[in-house]
Amino acid sequence: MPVSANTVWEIRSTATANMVNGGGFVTGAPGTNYSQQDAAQYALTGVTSAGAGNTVLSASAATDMVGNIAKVVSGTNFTQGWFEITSVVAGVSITFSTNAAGTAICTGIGAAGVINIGGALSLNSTLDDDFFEEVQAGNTVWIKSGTYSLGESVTVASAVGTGTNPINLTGYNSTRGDSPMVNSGSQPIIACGANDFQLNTFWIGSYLEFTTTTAAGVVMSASQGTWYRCKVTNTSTTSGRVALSAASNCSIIACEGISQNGTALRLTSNTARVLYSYAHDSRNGIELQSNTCYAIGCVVNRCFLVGIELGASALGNNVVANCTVRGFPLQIGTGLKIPTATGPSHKLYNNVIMNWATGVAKTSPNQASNFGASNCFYNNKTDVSNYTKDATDFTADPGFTGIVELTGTTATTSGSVLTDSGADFSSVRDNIDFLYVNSGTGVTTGQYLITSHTSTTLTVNNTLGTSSAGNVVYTVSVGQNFAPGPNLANKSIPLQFGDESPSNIAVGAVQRKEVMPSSTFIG
Amino acid sequence: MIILYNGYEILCCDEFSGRDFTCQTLLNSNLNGRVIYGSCFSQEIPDTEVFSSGLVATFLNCNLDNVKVPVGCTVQNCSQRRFMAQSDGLDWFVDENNNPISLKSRVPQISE
Repeated sequence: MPVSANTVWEIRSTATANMVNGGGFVTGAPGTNYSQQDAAQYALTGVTSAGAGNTVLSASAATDMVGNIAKVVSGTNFTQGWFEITSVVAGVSITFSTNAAGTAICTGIGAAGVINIGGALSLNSTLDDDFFEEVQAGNTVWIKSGTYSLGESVTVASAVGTGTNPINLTGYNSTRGDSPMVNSGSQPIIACGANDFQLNTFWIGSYLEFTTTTAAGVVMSASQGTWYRCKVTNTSTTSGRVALSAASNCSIIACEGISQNGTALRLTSNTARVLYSYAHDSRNGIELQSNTCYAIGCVVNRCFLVGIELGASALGNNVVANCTVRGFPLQIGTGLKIPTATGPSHKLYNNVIMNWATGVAKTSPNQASNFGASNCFYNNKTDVSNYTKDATDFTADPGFTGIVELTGTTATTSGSVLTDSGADFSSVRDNIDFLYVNSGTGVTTGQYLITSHTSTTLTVNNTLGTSSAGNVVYTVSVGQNFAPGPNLANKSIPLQFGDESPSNIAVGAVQRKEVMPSSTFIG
Repeated sequence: MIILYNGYEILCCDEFSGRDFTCQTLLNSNLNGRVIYGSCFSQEIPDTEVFSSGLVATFLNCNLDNVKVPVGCTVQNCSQRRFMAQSDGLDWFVDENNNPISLKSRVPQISE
């Protein structure tokens, strides 16, 4: 048997390097939990065994080891990897589980074994993927705040959870369960670089931040997985790359995605959903690539090609509801794109669609069974193309509370620096706000993360190119408060529960907060 | 920060260790004499000059993909792959002349 379903793992950026620690403890085991510390509690050397099997001989054997996960680092006839300590004869022997593949700790007479017991895991190693493949259904992997540089691609192939025993990969700040929010500065950051990161069936990844440049981005590659309160940024200069994606029956909930030249959030297969998430400063915001997918309560902001794409599946039946899909004031791109010629039964309800060249576009003049209602169209060059508005669709200024665009038409660029002598960039926030370059002689158009600034210059993460003509057209968004004004209130599809509870919610993703006037009572 | 590394306590530079410098250059940063652990310096173009050419530093367990590492530096347990995006939009490992050799990874397929 491999490690227990009750194993809880610990990853820390301050842990002993090279993934040499045990890194876990079985909840409820009689021993002492030594996983939540940087170094191993026991660093055994000279460990032997009488033959193949699960038991090794060590005079250091102690009963407090039971339940800890041990890491076999090396040894003759020792299987390298992670094993649960299931029992101990004090001063004599230690008995282990098998590894995930069912292989025993010793494959023959063991000699010169090096085994570490306790201590957290480090990542930053060529054993990163090996560790994730050892995780069992029901396990929890806690990852503490810090920055981790993946030493190899993590593409989980065999470690899968179940409906009753999912696998949790959960970030925390200082105390397990303290749930650091996106952009709090307290989530652990996994810097993938060009390494893939893919989890599998019934994994739940939460409170994590990733950076990546890979084509596929960060992926939930099989069914029933969930990304919750995660942020993924893909900074690749190659077009079409993805930040965060999820496959069949998976969920992306309350996440944030940015892919400067690609797609922020992508549902790759059927019956998946993206809920209450934020896609911004990308080429495409959200892609529902298959059928029966849902995008509900999401904000899409400042994407230069497509806000939400409903996919080419002939089975259709995707739903986009209560989303705010905002383009640039430059009015470029398409808000909602329905690319198939016979895409049936897509539903568009209660959305704000604004600032696009075309609000809703379908590629052929056949609306078929696509249907929408109570959508707000505002400030689009053209509201619809090959799509017929419903009588309940309307036009109104959403009046968002805190959306400010800094724009310019006469900037110059050199390397990674944009200069506009007439600008005031003092309100720009480094590593949060993005620059979009729309046009200019010699400049590379697209999205750029602003990494530093002065009042008249912006330094960005990728090379802009050299443009000295003084005709670079750009925009920077400062402020991301999408709370609407009063014009969207009571405009949604009316809800009627019985005779006495009619209800309307505001159109779009963010509900309006009514401020009660203050009163002074004279008594 | 002090990291236990192969049995030794190593004093690593706090300013540059455990950081994400993906696609950034540090030509004007002072890393001389430092030990840098667990940071990502990954680039998209092979042989990108991230550091000043005369740098003398030690990199432990860092991602140095596509980074031109100055000759005076020590590199241990770091990733130093060379790859480039090709016309198919995917990353391919490349040789010293930047000719594609093999596909680095595949994009997951869409299923209906």
